[in-house]
Amino acid sequence: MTTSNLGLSFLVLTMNLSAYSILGSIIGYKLNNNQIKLSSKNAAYSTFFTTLISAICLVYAFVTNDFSIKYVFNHSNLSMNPAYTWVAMYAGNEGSLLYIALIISLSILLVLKFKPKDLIESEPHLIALMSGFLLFFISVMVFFANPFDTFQSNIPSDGRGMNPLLAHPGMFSHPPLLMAGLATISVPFSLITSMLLTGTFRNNGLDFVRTTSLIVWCILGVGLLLGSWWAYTILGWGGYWVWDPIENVGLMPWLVMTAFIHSIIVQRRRGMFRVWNVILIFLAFVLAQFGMFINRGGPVVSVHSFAASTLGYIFLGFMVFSALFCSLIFIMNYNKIYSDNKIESVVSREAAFLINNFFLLAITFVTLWGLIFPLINEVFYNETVTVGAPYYNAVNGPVILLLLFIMGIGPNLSWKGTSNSNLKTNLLYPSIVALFAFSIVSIFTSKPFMSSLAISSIVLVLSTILYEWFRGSRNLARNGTHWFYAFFKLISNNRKKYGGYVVHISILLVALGVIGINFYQVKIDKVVTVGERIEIGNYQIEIAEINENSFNDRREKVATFLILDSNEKIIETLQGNNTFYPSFNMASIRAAIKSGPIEDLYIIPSDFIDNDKMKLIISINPLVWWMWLGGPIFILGTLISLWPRNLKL
Amino acid sequence: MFIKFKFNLIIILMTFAIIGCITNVSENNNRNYDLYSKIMCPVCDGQTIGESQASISNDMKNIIDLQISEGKTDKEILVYFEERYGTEILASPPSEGVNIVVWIAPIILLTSAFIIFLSWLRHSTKRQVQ
Repeated sequence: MTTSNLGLSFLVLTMNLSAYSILGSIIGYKLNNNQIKLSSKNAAYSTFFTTLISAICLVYAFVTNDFSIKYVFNHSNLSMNPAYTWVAMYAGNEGSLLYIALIISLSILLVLKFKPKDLIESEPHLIALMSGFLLFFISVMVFFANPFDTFQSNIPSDGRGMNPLLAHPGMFSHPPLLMAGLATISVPFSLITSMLLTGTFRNNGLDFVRTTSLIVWCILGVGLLLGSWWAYTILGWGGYWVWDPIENVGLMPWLVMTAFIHSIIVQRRRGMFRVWNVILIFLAFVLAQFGMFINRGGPVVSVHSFAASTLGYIFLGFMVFSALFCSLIFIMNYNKIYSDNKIESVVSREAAFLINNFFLLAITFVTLWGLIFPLINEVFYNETVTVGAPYYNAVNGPVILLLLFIMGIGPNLSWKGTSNSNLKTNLLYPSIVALFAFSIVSIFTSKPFMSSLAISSIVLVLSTILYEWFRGSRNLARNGTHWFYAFFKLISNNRKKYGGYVVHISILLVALGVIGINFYQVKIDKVVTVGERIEIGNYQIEIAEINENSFNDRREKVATFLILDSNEKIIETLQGNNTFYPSFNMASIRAAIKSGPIEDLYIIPSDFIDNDKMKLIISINPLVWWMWLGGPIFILGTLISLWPRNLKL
Repeated sequence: MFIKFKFNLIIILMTFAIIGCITNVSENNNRNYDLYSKIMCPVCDGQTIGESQASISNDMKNIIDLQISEGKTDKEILVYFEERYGTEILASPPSEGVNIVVWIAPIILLTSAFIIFLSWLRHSTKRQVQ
């Protein structure tokens, strides 16, 4: 039996298993037969192992260069760095579907394993929903996009190779995390839908919904940030964030999930916003399906076109189906959901959460509008337009600023309502510091008004958080505890809250990087010969040498740069390269970057003119370094938030 | 005494902030790069000419540099490219004609939504108090 046969057989087996587990759950629920329920649960469990075997077959085919499989032929070749053959599985449409199916089946396994006992009533519905989602992806592969399709005759001796833009360390982390994040939004969605369908959407199991949502949200967030870092280090993606349609469809579900994880806190604490939370998770799920559609043969122009296929209509159909399904479930059940309490004051934590939700959805809407406007315009006015970064920056910029501001105020408000004196104690000093920062920035820099506002908002949020930490640790340290220990005790006593603060700090760091690059970047371009020195900022740059290496599938030109400080002392040697792939007629350009907390020196080897002459685009990007630091801090904050109460380090 | 000190501090800072706003003259040293990021590369998918390394992008950048040195305004330069390549060459549509909708719609919609949302919030909290 060949690898391809084995892989396909297990795909078909998975398809049957998931279909069985859907039917079994429904029949078991209707007949209230525990044995049928158990059997369908076991079928759902086993889909992970059968999908895993299929995935292993595909990875094995890549690692052993089995070019008899068309998918391997199209996305790998012999001269490719062997490390990439392990991940080339998700370099194209069919394989990435298999990867997504694997993640969904893994999420089924984990959810069924770790689900709390009080969710037993909704279990059959949960299994049916999650298996249904898996069944969709498996069927698409079996009927339309078989990753194990083989050549009947004339098996090629070498493949076409992976898209050159994907040959980057980012390939190991960004695509798998982003796809996993988008696919597993189905977990909180299925949990809530199954609870709605069985009329058990109360507070039972809400902690589990929160845990899964936070994990999914963290995976998606880290995936987005890694994509940003990837796009920053290599050219061809348009820079760290360009509001490309594919970036946007990843961002929108994350924004809605961000709103969801905030408003679900209100449901847990005060029994409010139940209807709203259902709407949010439905919206996030439908937007994730929208993302799948745009990714796979959507109608928009994008720099990401790896998974593009002719399957667009199938995914469009699935998205429309999801939207109808969600609407139906909502209409049938919304009168069963009600709030235990009402909002009592505009100046309360609840209201701040709602305002935060409003701004997050506003950004989502602006992004969606920019994405679909060219389509509307084309259909109604027959005119092609591009809606790109200038639109998003101009319209989303101010909304993001307001959101930052709310991030500073909101956590300082109390539940139910806040007294003026309370507000004053919490916000007086931070506001003074922020005002001070605003004055300094606007007097000493000659940049737009927005940049001073943005920086002072960051200072406001940061100082409210630090001030609260300071007061909290001081209170704990009063009875003789050491300050340092008191601080950790403070965080460990209320992990959910302080984990949230740590995540807020990571968002501030990302914002700092965005401000640095958008408002304070300095850029020059110049044709330079080897040995010549050019000055930018406090640096002098000299090309030390230019080398050329030829490989079977690519020609690589590497430039070595010497970076000198103002005293003509060499501080660093950097390399940038420009690699041309003839079979793709595509060049991949890696920038030379000297990164640091104050600023990045960023050199693009734009064009190699002669053996000793090249065109460079050099920029100084202040504060970008902090954006990448935001990633680990974001994960740390989520982990603190998720860390169970009874588990001690 | 301390309260007065804080009050004075705020007044002083406010004054500084206002001075900052008045004296704030934003300079644009990167005018040509700003323009590069407003024009799409005609042969690439979803990249501006600032980002693209295609030879046509380099030619277009040279045209922009030339026109800036001739003293043309940003608007004139953008119109120059729009006339030759169509509206889709611009990274975002100009705010005129039908395309004004792309800019206006979210602003009007979000502002009115926010007003409705706030009045709903106030209304529902007032009802509680009674």
